[in-house]
Amino acid sequence: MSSQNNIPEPAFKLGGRHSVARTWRIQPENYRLVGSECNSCGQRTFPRTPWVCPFCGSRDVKDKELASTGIIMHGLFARPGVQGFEDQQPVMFATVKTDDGAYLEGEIINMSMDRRLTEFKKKSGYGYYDLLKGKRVRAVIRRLRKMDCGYLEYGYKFLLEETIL
Amino acid sequence: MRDVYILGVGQTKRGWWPERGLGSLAAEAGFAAVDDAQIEMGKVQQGWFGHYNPTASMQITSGQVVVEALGLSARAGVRNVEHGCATGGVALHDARLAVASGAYDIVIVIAGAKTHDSQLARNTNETISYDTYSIMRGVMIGHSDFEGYCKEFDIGDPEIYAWYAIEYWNALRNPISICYHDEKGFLSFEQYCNLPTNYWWSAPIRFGAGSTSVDGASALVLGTKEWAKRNKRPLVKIAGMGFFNESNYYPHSYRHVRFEMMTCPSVKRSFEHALNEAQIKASDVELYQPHANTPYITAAHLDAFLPMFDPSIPYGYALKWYSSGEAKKGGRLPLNSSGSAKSGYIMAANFLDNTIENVQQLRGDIQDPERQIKFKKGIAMASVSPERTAVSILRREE
Repeated sequence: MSSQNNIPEPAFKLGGRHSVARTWRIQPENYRLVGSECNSCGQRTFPRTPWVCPFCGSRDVKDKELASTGIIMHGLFARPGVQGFEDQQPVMFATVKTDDGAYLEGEIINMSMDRRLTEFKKKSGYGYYDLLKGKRVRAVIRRLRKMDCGYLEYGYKFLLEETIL
Repeated sequence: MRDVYILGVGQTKRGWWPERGLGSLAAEAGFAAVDDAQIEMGKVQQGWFGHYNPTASMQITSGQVVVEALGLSARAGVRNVEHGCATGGVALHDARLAVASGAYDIVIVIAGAKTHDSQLARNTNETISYDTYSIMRGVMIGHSDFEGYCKEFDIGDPEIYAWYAIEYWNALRNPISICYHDEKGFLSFEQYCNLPTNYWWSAPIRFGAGSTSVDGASALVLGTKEWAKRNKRPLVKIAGMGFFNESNYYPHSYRHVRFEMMTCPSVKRSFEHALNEAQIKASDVELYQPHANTPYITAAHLDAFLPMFDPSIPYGYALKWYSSGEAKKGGRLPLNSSGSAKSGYIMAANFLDNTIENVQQLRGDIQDPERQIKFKKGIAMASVSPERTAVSILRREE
């Protein structure tokens, strides 16, 4: 089928590798950083563990919106080949400890592509690790990926307090 | 080898829940089972997770998801089992061996499905990963086998309706069923016969939720006799199990020219193995849950078992067992007391569902008195899947 301008429209691709249902299910995590808090031991987990606390085994667990700010504990580069991120390689991910004590992983967005490539090409050393460790970040909503069928998935990413150029 | 007992059972309701993931379903069933067993989840030493079909739920290595959902991360191993309709059967078989061998004292067996996560694979039946030859064999030969079988043994509307009616009657009374108390769904014989269908012989397959794939999970906790005694309930022992595979294409030297789908030797062998392990006669069985997603699968199991149950019953009598009334409560051998596939069919959990139904029946835990069977010897049996047959025989001990 083509449009009035005789430009072929992209074929609708049914199915694909991604699940709309699953994306919809994890909206609380993706949009509001909802994790779990154990009423027995106080530990916070992300993503949610709604049935049981993985630390103490208690089943007295409730949903808890986590703090959107935190500190980078560990950073690493994602190698090329991650589905849905092909145009952004290399992608930098970090493990962040939020201000209320939960650990979560996310992408660091305000770091220039030049710097990413420079760090990525280093053959030795832990430049990227030293570069990120201890930096403060804030969670923001950004596009995560585009599914095969054209749907867009949004979720949290991390913004460094100071952009790295 | 030690005796293995069923300490607790748990099931989720059957249905479709886009808001729930595989882990959530498995956790609900798993925690229901440990609550029923009156133990803590932390006591569980190992787990088996039956999962079919991974394409529909877009989840591989699903044991990893389940171990997290159960809070057993780094405390126990949960392995994945995938074996078609026999998924739950294989999981239970191996979990039982793990306890019997002395390696573990308490293990959990869970099986479940999440049918609609994938946009591509809407249900398990669409995504069976067999090649075309096998599909041809399963569908074409299976159906044509059944057509010839029906003509040969004079099976018609009354017999197939009786199969449908018994399953539906029980499913309407099973609280986990998708059609619980759904009186509108039950068709009269006349309505049933007037169903529009382009393939008369498989009408029950096309109608009546014969193989409706749903979301849900089922779980059993197995353990030693010492643990089972703590509950102060009737003990339910796994007295015997059988598991045999055969080729999808050729039942080897046992190939029958006629009705090859209906006479799988793996079914008979599994029965013999389980009965031998349990050291009972086939006639001792008081309740039987055959695989009942379609009438011809049911017949494949029943026609192997009924001649063992009573040598005077001829081959080909399977569906007449339903129409004769013997399959109802109070009959000589009640069948499908859970409503089987009509309750909502989870291919992975099918065997566990049938075994759980037997456990609840043997304990006298069925809430609805109309559905509760009375036992003399306390022996119940379940089986699934011709060509990859699993059989379990449970025995009640006071």
